[in-house]
Amino acid sequence: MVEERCGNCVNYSPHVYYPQVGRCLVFSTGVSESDSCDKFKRASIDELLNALGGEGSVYCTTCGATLVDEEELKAHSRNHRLAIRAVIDEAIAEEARAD
Amino acid sequence: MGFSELSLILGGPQGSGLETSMLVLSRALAYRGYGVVADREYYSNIVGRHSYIHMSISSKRTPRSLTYPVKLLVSMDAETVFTHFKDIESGGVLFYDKDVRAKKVTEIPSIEESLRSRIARDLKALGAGEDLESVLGVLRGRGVTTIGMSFQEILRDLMKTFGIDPRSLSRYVSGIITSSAALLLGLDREALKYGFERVFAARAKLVEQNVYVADSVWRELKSYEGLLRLDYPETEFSEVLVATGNDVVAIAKIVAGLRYQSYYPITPAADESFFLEKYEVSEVDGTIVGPIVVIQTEDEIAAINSAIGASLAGVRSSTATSGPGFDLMVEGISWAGMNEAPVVITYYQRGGPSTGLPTRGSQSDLLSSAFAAHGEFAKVVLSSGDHLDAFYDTVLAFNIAEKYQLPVIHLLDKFLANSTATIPLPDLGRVRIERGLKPVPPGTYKRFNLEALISPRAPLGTPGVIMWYTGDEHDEFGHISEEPENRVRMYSKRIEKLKLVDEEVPGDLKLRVYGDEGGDFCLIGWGSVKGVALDAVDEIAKRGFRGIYVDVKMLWPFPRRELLEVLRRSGFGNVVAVEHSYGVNIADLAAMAAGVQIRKRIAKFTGRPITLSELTQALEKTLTSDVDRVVISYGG
Repeated sequence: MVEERCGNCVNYSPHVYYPQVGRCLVFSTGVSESDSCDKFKRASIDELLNALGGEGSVYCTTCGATLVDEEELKAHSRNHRLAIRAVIDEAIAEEARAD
Repeated sequence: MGFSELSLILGGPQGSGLETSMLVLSRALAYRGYGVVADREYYSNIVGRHSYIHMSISSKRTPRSLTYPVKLLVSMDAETVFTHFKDIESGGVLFYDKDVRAKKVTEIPSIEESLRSRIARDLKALGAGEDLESVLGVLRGRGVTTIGMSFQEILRDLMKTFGIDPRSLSRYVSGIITSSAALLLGLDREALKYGFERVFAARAKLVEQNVYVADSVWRELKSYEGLLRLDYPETEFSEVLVATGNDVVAIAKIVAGLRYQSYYPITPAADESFFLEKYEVSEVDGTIVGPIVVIQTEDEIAAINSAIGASLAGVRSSTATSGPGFDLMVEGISWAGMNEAPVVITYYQRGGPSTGLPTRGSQSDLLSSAFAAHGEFAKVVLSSGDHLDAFYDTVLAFNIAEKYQLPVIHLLDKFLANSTATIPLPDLGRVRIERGLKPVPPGTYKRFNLEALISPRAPLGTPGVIMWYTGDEHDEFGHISEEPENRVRMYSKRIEKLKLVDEEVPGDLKLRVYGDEGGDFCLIGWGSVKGVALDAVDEIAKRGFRGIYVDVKMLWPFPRRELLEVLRRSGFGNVVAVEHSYGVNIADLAAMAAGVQIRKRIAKFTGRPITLSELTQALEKTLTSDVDRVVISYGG
């Protein structure tokens, strides 16, 4: 049985560097993966496939990679944590450039 | 009793606030009177790969070098700990995010496979597992204090208290990093707040939120406050610049009277031009300085050629680039040589060939810059050993370019460009602007008058003055001429200006000797190895070897007389060359220009800076054995 906390919810969008915190796609607020609420919805393979169809990609939190292919998604879903999308940090642009 | 000198590493994913952490901490330390030098190491992708700041702090002076092992490792993520745990000395401290304790080295996709295997092998040899918790155990066994804190809790609290959008979280992770480092070093919160205020200038809310983070860190880590306390600062700084090499060169260009800068963005040169763009128009005591025209051109060919154009129009002009860009500029440099156009090329070396190691340092372009461009003509190559030297040398580069009407290459590197240091304010009383402008004589103007090696230079547009410029051989007016007698005189004129440079530029601007002569060895190098070389000379003196460091500042024309004189005084014995390259090419340049054979060479070409510990060991090895060549490679 999957624990009903944000980190396991399909509406949890993890921060690209600190996936322990992220954004709730339902309430549009910052949450931590250990938070919980009554809107919990498990990040099932079907939900993720839907997201892939709708958004064109899903995010593998374990690999830090964007997945764009159904087979790829299924392969990663066996052992990895997946999310609909990641939170990209806007401060990245203020950091080091590498041209 | 605390530490008068201390080394630390701040590490995390690139783009996650590491740069900000370095800036905040450096400014906080400088505010309290500490000397700092901090090198930034990062991958050539935009985000995500492991980056780190290697910092040396001193309560007595601005540190000159970096060293291993470090006393403190402050990590933003598990990868930092896996990559650097061996760099922490016994009795040192690790600060880490305890939410990632279960992370295994095999689960971190951003670590390159070869490095991952090496770390896994090292852990196995230590009898440790592949997870972070096991590494913590190893460190504790070595007497390292491990201090964990939940980043998640701090960030969650921050999001709830201030309603912060997770898209800007890295700004606060840098707050955790700087606060924990400051607390452990015994810095006070006022100094830290000053650091936040300087870095987040005009963003008061960000300052307030980071101060809130600092308060949280202080509450949680109170018992560790001052665990690595720095000695009370004894530096004699009244005012310092906290700046990178790029910044310092840009400031010096403004002081030198630059009016035109062109560039095509490239690491590690672009930041210099970005700085100049910020200060295109400055006002000092009600007087406008400049304006400086800064143009991002479509490529480096346009960059050099437009800078030459500005020079012909009579203004001080320059361009800044690194290896791949310089290669494209070479034809333009040849044109500048042919047309006696004063232009400064600030050349920040990085690891080559080709795009090579775009964000790593190197000194491997020495020969390329000294001998670049077809045909023979006078050009000058200068180098700088540290931030302050770079300031004065930038002004010197313009003075030489204009006085002798030739291209000057100011050869720097990524180590200097990207390292931040506390720098005493340059003595502006030492700065002389020598434009070498001669009055245009009455009568028919000859741009390339052969009566003297340096002809009167009139800017384009001078009323009543006509001139011609062409890439072809030309006569005194600038008209194309293939006539042999003219060719001999004009060709020789351009080349022989180099003799004037050699004769007229003071010796101490060409070569400097540090230390007491008459010792056991002579270490020779150029550019950014100066700091670590000086420290290595001091360090090895404690082991009974006395020596000097010879900093070759003018690389072309090579200071033959000056070097020979130094070597003669030291009996030509035990000369060792050091350089960030495979060949240690300064030795070959010295052989060619001065007939000096330097067999002993210390080379590093990993793209990481030469550190004090490895250079001292290598130097000792060359002095105590028959080994002629030592390759060093420490650093991740």
